Amino acid sequence: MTDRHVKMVGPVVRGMDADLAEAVIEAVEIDNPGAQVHVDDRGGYIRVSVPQRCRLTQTSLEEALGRPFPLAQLEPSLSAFAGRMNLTDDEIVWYLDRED
Amino acid sequence: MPRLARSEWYDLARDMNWKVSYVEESDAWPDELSTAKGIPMEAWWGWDEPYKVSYREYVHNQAGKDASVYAVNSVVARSKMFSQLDEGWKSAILAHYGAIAAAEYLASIGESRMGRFGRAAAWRNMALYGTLDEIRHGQIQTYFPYGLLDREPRADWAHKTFHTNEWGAIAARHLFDDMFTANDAVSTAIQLTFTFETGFTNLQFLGMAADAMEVGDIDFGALISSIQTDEARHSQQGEPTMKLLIEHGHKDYAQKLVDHMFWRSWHVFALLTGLSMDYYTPLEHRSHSFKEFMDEWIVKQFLDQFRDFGLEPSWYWEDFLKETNWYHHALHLGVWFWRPTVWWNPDGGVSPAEREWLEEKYPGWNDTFGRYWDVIAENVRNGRPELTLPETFPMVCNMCQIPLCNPAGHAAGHLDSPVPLVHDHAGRRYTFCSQPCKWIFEQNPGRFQGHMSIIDRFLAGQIQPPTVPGALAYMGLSPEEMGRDATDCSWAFANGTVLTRGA
Repeated sequence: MTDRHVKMVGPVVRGMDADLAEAVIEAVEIDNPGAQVHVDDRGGYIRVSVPQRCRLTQTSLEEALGRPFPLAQLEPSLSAFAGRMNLTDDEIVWYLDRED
Repeated sequence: MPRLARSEWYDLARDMNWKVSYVEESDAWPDELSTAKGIPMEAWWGWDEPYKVSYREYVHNQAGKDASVYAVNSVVARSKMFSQLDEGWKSAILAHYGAIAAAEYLASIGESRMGRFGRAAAWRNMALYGTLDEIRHGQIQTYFPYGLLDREPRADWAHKTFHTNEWGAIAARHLFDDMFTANDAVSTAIQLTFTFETGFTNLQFLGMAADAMEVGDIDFGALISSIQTDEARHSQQGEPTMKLLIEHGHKDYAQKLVDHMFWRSWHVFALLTGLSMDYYTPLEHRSHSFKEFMDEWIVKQFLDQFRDFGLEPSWYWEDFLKETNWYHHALHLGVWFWRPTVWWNPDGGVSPAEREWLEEKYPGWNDTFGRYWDVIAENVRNGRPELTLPETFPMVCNMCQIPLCNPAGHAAGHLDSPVPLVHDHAGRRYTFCSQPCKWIFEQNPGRFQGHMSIIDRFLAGQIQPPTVPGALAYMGLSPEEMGRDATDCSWAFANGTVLTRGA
């Protein structure tokens, strides 16, 4: 591969759940300080992405929503994601390891 | 809800693994159904899914998903929304329901095979959710078109397609049997969940959801984007399976499984999604071209992901990239010309404004594919529709079961030769559209050699009378069901602007 595009990772939120998508964007901005958060709203889905590694914590998401929100409840709105995923009790990390 | 955090009890509850003693391991997990590749049982027990969900959470989430999607459906059903949809868009959703709905039930067979023959309890647990997911997808995607029957009788192809010998149904069955109904657990994890679901289903289920929202079809948009939330989870059975294969020295095997199913998936999605996005979706509502969606979901997102495991782009990657420029345009020409052979109304979709868009998205389109449409449009305008309809049939590929359109690819400058690939095996001649389709056959001829394409059946005298009407009857298409142009060829009369549909 000679193409060296920036590898973007992160959640793709269902377009019907735009309110939650707003909160996810806000939380991703808090949880990934210094990273440029890219949002691509395609109507039917909203792609939120960060280069290489994207963290989303329950704390930030609850703060953005203003109500309790266990991460397991994200699933009905999580249509897809870019990168690989690691889900623990209080955070999700989407990532890609390979450098080239 | 349990007071403990999930991580405090999850592994214990999930990992119900033990060494069998009453039977041989090879009897409990026969290699034909399970595939061990010599990896010891205890190593399989290290299989760990990245996307975790407890059964309680699963049931809670799924009930909520269904409640919200059925609520949209029940509101929309009382409105005039469907009748007011663009005719081309209606064709896209009819094609979708016919090709996909019953296939979802078939996918539940593949999931349940992993749920029984996967070699780790964690995997079997994920596959149980996957089985229930696919049953949900089968039910919901037969229920929604059922609600359309009074307005569109051909919505019953959601049920009917897979019970017919319509050529697209033969192609879909051949693919899905290879991928999941007749596949072992390991190959299903790599081919169905990793390749097909992490990669390609996003195109149809999210790419089309984007277009659906533009078109105003919230019913379809809500449906398919919700289905994809299940896929995003159960497709994660691929990663831990892939990891184990690679850790135990079977990277080449994993790569081959991906190469095989990536190509097959590409061809069927070019046919289904390619035509829907670039020709059937009304111009003013197209959010991206098919090629742009391919670039976003496959060429970037999926490629990044499989390279992350140390796999490389398939040996045919350059040919694949080339095909993204022409293959679905050639298929569209063929499907439109042989429109009586499909259960939807193909939209020619080549008015001057649409051609301008096609030229912008696919530079050179006017000088290549446009020239065929010039002749077709002239015949339409001259009142000679018979010249735009088939008198015979095209050759069909013995792997993807899709008609060969190599001459169009050659004429457009993307293929070195217009000639199909021929392969003689065990006293029979096979025809292929492409090197990868031929390669897939050669990797495992015993798996594919007995299948007869619809053209093989025609030539063998199985289709009687051996005429176009005889073949249409064989395909299960009554005159009322046969496809015709979605807009009575309004595009051929359009003069610089898109006509109101149905004009």
